[in-house]
Amino acid sequence: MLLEARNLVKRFPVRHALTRRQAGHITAVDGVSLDVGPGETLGLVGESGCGKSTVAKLLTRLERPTSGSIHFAGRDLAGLDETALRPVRRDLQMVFQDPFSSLNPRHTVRQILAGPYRYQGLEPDQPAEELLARVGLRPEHADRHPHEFSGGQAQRIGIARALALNPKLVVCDEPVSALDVSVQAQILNLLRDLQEQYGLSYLFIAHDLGAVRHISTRIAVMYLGSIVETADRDALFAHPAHPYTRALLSAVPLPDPDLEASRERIVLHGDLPSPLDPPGGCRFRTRCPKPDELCAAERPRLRTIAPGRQVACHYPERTP
Amino acid sequence: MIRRLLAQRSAALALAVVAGLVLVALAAPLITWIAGSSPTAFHGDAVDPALGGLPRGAAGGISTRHWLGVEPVNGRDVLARVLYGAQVSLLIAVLATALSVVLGTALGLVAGFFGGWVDTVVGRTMDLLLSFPSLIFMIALISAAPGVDRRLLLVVVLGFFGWPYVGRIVRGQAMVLARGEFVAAARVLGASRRALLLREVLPNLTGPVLVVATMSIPGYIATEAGLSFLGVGVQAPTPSWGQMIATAVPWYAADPAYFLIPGAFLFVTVLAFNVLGDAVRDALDPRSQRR
Repeated sequence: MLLEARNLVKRFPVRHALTRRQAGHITAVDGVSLDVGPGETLGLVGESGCGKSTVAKLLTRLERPTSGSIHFAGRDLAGLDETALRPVRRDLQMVFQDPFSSLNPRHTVRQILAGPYRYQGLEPDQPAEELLARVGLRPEHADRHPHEFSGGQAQRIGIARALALNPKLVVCDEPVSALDVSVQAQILNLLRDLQEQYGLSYLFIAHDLGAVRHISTRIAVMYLGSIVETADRDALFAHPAHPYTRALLSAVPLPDPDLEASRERIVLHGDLPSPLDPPGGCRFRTRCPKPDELCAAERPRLRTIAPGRQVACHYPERTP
Repeated sequence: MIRRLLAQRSAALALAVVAGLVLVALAAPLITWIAGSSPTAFHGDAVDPALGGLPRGAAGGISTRHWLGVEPVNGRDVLARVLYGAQVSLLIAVLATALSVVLGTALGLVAGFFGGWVDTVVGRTMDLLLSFPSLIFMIALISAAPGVDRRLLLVVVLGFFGWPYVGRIVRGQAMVLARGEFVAAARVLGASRRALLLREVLPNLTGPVLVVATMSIPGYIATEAGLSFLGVGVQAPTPSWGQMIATAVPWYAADPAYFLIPGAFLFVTVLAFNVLGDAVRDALDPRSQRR
């Protein structure tokens, strides 16, 4: 495995507005374990607030995990300081959600693309024009500022920057969510082409199963800070085992209107419970269509139900 | 930015006035040489001892020898003193602004970027300085420091009490910028703290800093004039506008020109800088569409 994260936990202190005393904490990530193999794309899906972006920040060590380990390239990144992390960062890069806010508005594209080498203390081995060509932009774009580009072009610059150091793993935190639908597919195709060309691995985070399906080899579904199901892409789409996964899949629109009209929709009621006060037992039971006493009493562990397939549910759907 | 600035007629005019003043202040020795006057030479023959030292002639003794008249009593040339006074006033204001901008940007940047105890220390210091009765303190400090060059002292004191105004704005901006995704992107690339501060955040602060700087120059000119008026600013024989206005006060009824000339210079300068500051802010803010 290229990346092995084990039992990652991130708690944020919640302070009282007036006294500044710690009034409790939010567990944004609650025991997440995941693996990404070489050349593989792991899709991580879940609705807003489920902690998937925090996972991205933990893996790229923008945040320090409260506990757990992140094994990458033979080291545990969880406890490393910034100086020790610097060389590791060459192999572990990130693409951000908002292409404009992730590019410094005062820098030209050339300055942005020189950043990776400068911050690593390296001589630039790829001129900006070369990096731009990789992502389908023209050399004359190098001397423009970010605000002169469209969202799709700006995201291409963000991707070019992430690839400048020839990383092994790129964490993509909702890289297409901020883009127009017509542009989303172009960026997804670009990411896939680059993966083939450079042998990259991706951790691809999205709240949209459609995008994840397009690019992932395996998929992990997150709910309220924990992974509830992992499976190979096709197995997950064909036979979702966790009721939450089933609900997510039933929300993906189908291109065929007859199929769309005839299929069963699972509508989840209620909101995501507050991570300040998560429900006891199974976290999903407040919105699950079929909870019982066991679900209230005991939290289901992520267990293997078939090769390459793990579910955290007392009553998983049958899979062939 | 320059084009946006000059597109505003009032800004172009203010910029012209400011540029003209700077030019005239720089050319003070040349102009006084042409006019054949000096800021320190006494002209006893230009004043009338019988009238208590009132300048001879109309409008404060305006003549071909003294284009803007002479001072009462000792008869120093008003034009020369106004021009050399402009040098002193502008220099003090610009240097005090530079000092407060450097201090305010550096401290505001680290406070906003790092937060935590750094922010607490810098933030409380700014609160303290802003709530301090600074004018009284300046008067006390300056009068308690004899033998020090008053101009230098004014720059240091004005800059020291002025940096929190810059610091407050820079701190707020740096706080927002520090959370920006482009800073996170630089961190993922392995940028050091120094690089984050200087290469990523600082360039985004030039706009707001430029605006506070332009806006604070007229304030310093006025404060310097005020302190000189109160007798704790620039000391004679070094001329300054505030000091000239102060010495003109007892003469305003008998010799209004002597009061009006430095007053008009002060007024026009402060107004021009203020208009310019407003215009710079508008030019840098893409949201404020000028009609």
